[in-house]
Amino acid sequence: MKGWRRRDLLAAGLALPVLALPAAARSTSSTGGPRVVIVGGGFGGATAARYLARWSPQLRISLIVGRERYWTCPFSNLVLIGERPLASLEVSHARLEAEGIEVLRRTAVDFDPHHRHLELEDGTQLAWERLVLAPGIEVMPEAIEGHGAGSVEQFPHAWQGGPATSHLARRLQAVPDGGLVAISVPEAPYRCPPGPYERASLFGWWLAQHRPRARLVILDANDRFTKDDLFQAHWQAAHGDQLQWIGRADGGSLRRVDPRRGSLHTDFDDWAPDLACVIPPQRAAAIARRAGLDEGRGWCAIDPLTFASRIHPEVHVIGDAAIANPMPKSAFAAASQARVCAAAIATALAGKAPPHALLTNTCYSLLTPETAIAVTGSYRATAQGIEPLPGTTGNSPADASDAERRAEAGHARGWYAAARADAFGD
Amino acid sequence: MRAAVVLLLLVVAEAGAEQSDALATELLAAGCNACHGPDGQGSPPVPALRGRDDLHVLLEGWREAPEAKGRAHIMIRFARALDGADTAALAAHYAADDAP
Repeated sequence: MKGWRRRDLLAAGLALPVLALPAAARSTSSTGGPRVVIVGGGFGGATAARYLARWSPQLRISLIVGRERYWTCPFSNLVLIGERPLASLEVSHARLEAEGIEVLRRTAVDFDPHHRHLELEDGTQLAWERLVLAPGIEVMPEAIEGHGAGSVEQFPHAWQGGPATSHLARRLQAVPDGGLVAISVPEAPYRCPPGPYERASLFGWWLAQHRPRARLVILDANDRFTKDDLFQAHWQAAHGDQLQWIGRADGGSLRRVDPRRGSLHTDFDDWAPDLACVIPPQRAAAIARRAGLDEGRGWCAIDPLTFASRIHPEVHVIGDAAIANPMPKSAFAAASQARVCAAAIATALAGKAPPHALLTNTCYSLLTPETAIAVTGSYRATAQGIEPLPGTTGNSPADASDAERRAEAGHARGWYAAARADAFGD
Repeated sequence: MRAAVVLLLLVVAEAGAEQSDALATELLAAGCNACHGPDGQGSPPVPALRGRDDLHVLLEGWREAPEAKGRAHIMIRFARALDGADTAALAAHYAADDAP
């Protein structure tokens, strides 16, 4: 293996100029190169845009980011307990624009896979050679009896970042000593599998400092969860009976909420918490469910070698909206998938096969503001599916010292800064 | 004439394989940079990879480690996803001083 650098790659014409494409595939852009449109300005979409620009510099790349401001979900649980300002999670897409990526701050509402157009909310039609959808999730509070969009403020979830995070932080502050906090967890799959349990750990830490007689209950629609032995051991050691986890088999599934009383109802119990953080069931965001892309299942089947849709292969789906299990719906996984997808598009537009690809994930979870645990995994993509590589998946050691847990929290902060720099240059 | 065409095709195929290898290494390294910062320059306290000459030895050591324990548990698991050619390619990628 020679020590090839990027300039060699470009000089060698990896990404062949547009003339190498079939005639019918040309003509989608006024700038000469074919156009790739990417929907979603989060970790998946932004990473895809930057790596496509790097590996296929003749492309015209448009990134549809929707609302103008964007806050990361990773590290938002620290905002809830006042250990990090929300402003520190805001990222801009200015660097991407400076790199020549067209950033459109409008919402994509529909696409036509046959005529290869994307429609924006204002009626604008964007022609594309390839479409990449990285729109994230849509929450479905209405899937819980008694709940709906109108009662989300009362039962806040803050599962999509931004100002809702500050609202939930204020609600936590208002919990009285001796009060009860409930977190309900939807049945998997959902965004950020360890997120509810990190949140419970940090809520537990905050309550122990500020409301030492308060209790916390987790009502879970699942019987097992990621890193469960590590979380459970920490909760037992740090919070004892003040933090209770009730799994599905013990009737933990949330069946109904009553907004008038502020109560939660499971198969066996009725709860009247001072703060009920109800994380709703989820599905792929609306744009990824157009044109039958999700086959009515809520999530999009993909070819793991390219992240091309199984339904419309010119449309790629990455990140939370895709069915990529056993990879979790995480920012790390979305960025890993984005790079594989970008390499696949760059090579396909140059008439070549995609490179051998490794998919990776690490999810750090804070137990306290200064200690963390992690789960990691590497995966091989095949045409059939995504397979964990032997010996690559697992958790932080159960017997780790406090110093090791602190070191892991440091690694979490390092990852966060690196992931932001990689995706947003910010 | 036929020999010349065959030779040309071989040269083109070789060039294609090298391009593909170069992209594969960039893709692999991008996975490292996800934690180790842009171009492997480090994202404290996650250490830098750029400019190091011991990466091959480190990765091979982790790849052979019997258990994923201690502070390196994540790196031991990532190293198990690599083969000898991958670790050599990554070591060469980061050791080179002409960063892209």
